[in-house]
Amino acid sequence: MMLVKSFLLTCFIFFGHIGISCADQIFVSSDSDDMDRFQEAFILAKPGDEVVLPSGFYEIADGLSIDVDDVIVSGAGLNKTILSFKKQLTGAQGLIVTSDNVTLRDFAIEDAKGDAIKAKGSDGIYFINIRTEWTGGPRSTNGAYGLYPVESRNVLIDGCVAIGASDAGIYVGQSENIVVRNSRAEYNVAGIEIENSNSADVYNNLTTHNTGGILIFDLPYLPKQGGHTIRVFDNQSVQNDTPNFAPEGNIVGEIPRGSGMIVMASENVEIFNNEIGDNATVNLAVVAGEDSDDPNYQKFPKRIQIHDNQFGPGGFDPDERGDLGPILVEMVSTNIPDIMWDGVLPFWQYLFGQPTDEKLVIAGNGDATFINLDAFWYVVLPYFHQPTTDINDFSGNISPLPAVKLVFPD
Amino acid sequence: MRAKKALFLLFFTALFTFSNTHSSVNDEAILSEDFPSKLSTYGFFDNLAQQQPKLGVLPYNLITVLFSDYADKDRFIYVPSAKKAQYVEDSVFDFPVGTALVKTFSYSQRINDSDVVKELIETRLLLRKIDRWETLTYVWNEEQTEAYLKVGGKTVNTRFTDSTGKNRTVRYRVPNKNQCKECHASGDSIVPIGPKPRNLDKDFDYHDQTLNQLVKWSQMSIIEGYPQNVKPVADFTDISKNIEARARAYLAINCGHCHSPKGSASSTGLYLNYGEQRPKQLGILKPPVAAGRGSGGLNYSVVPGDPDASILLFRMISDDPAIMMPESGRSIIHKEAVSLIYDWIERMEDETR
Repeated sequence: MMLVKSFLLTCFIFFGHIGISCADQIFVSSDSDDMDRFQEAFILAKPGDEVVLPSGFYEIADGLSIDVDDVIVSGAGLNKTILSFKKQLTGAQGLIVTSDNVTLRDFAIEDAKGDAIKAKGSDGIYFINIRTEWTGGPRSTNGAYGLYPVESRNVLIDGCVAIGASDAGIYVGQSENIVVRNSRAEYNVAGIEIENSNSADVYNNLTTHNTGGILIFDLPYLPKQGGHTIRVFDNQSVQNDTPNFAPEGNIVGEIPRGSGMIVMASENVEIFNNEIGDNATVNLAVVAGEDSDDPNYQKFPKRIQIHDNQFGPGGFDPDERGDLGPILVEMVSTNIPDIMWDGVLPFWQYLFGQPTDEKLVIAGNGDATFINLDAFWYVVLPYFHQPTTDINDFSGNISPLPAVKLVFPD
Repeated sequence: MRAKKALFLLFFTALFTFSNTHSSVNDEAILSEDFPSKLSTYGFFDNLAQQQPKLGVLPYNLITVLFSDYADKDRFIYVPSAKKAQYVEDSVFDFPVGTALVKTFSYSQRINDSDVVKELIETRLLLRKIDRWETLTYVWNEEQTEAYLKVGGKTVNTRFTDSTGKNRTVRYRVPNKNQCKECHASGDSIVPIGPKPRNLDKDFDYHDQTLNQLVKWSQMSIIEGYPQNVKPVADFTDISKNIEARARAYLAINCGHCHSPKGSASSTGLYLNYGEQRPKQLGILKPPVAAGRGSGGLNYSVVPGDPDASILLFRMISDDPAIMMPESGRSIIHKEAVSLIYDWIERMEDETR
């Protein structure tokens, strides 16, 4: 009833052949004890409606969901409309979206027990000026993901803030047509992660004080495989210095503290115009994925282009906890170059060489330092192990990737 | 004058009784896009509060059921006369437009040696509209005289007596409309989960007779027919049955609707639907993907021979919303199922090593 009373009908009438369309603004009341009113508003909303969340701090016990197409949910600002799930009793997310063409803007989800906001199978999901945060700082008991679109298309994350996720602050998985921009991710295990996805532009973001800044990953055993065509540019990935706090058993638990950017097993990635510095383990790493028995998984990164980035200090104090850091230190030293490639290739390519169009290309990165770890021989036959550091071995022409065009569904 | 009035009254009472006994289900209400606000409008029951169904509204049961915080469930099916459901291999029946699947959730509490009080909580409907299935739920009032449509979900704090005779409290959540879809989604459509031939193939006590449900449904012309080689699922509580069959039956009905290639958990790559046979998809030595704390620091969904190292079990024995599975519809740990899945994993032989 509370809800109905606060309905304000705003009709937009179009004459002529367009016909008449009617969009409601549904105002959720700010003073009521009935916390189900938020959920009720999301269910009563019809395509074309806008659900307006009030300014204020609201403690919600049951996870929320949106399953209606073509709606906008807007708050009064990412520090003004705060939905807190500190006392959450049910639901694996703070909010889950399962419909198409949904805009979420100007509110915050705090302290969700699981993920903060998940969008599953959405075509057209736009996060604008949204904050997801675990307010107790980095803790392994924090939820896994802040902004978490998965199996979605036409994903926009713009002007968002993601803090404290025990996996990734901004995580786009098994999706396509993705833009992540103008956002800030800090004090997460991974700041921004694009996983098993294709056609993504990640630009003008700041990732700092995470364990790892920006991750472009491909993993086995997932329905959607073969992530490719990803541009990472104009970002700042600096001073990612938070010790890894992921709960055990998660792949990001392997990320060494102080990783600026990591590309794993992806194909066709262009990394340019970024500022990457003050990352104590490594500024930028390109590595193969783990061995797996998944026949659909291809674990070798291909066609990674790294150009015109500006590197600050890096690799000066590698993380010696975990599995990867110590191996790095053993193989290299405690001073790891800016750009590191593990040098792992399919076996036959050690004999016959790597196809030219699959090679790593590195150009115009100022005085950046480089190492090819040659990790394969290190493991298989250390006698043949020969790390190289000549960055010019990988010079070549850059073939720019196309910009992502988001398609707004009808 | 008085006699005339009495006669009049008698006549009306008789008329009312007559029409009530023989009135039929409100087919219009089932098809209406203007969802009725009261459960009584549909006319499924002769006696709503006692859940006595009308003729043509048939009670049924499933061999292995979805766990819902130990709530009791009474199920009914109504298929409009002159229409029949068709058999579809490995699937629920293809029910005709106008079908209603009715499920009432209740808790019983023993208050003294002889008295048990049954409290009706909600009645969920799956209605076969012209173009789709619609999910609706009606929440019972305190007087237990009527149930009202509720789309936003509701919390019902109540008590029940468990199988050991202990009184327990439960924070029961009536699902909101979106949560209905969470489990009933297959791709973009809503589908029933329970009434599959293999899960119906058992005897039911119809008071006048005890009969196999598929036979009865054929006799009543609810279904067109069914092949004689339906292999019933195992009753997960039946210890005379093979443990593999019991475990798979439980996982299929409790997890498989989401954890299937078209379900809500498709992105996880963990598939527990009945037909799945690939070991990795069944979780055997499959690493978690986006489980967060749900992994519990464990490396694989199922480690043959080692239930304590299996994420699958870890998530069943949790009641923390960030960890527990299923994500909705459960707040209490299903002890009997945990013990079954524990034994299943412990006895599982590792064929991959």
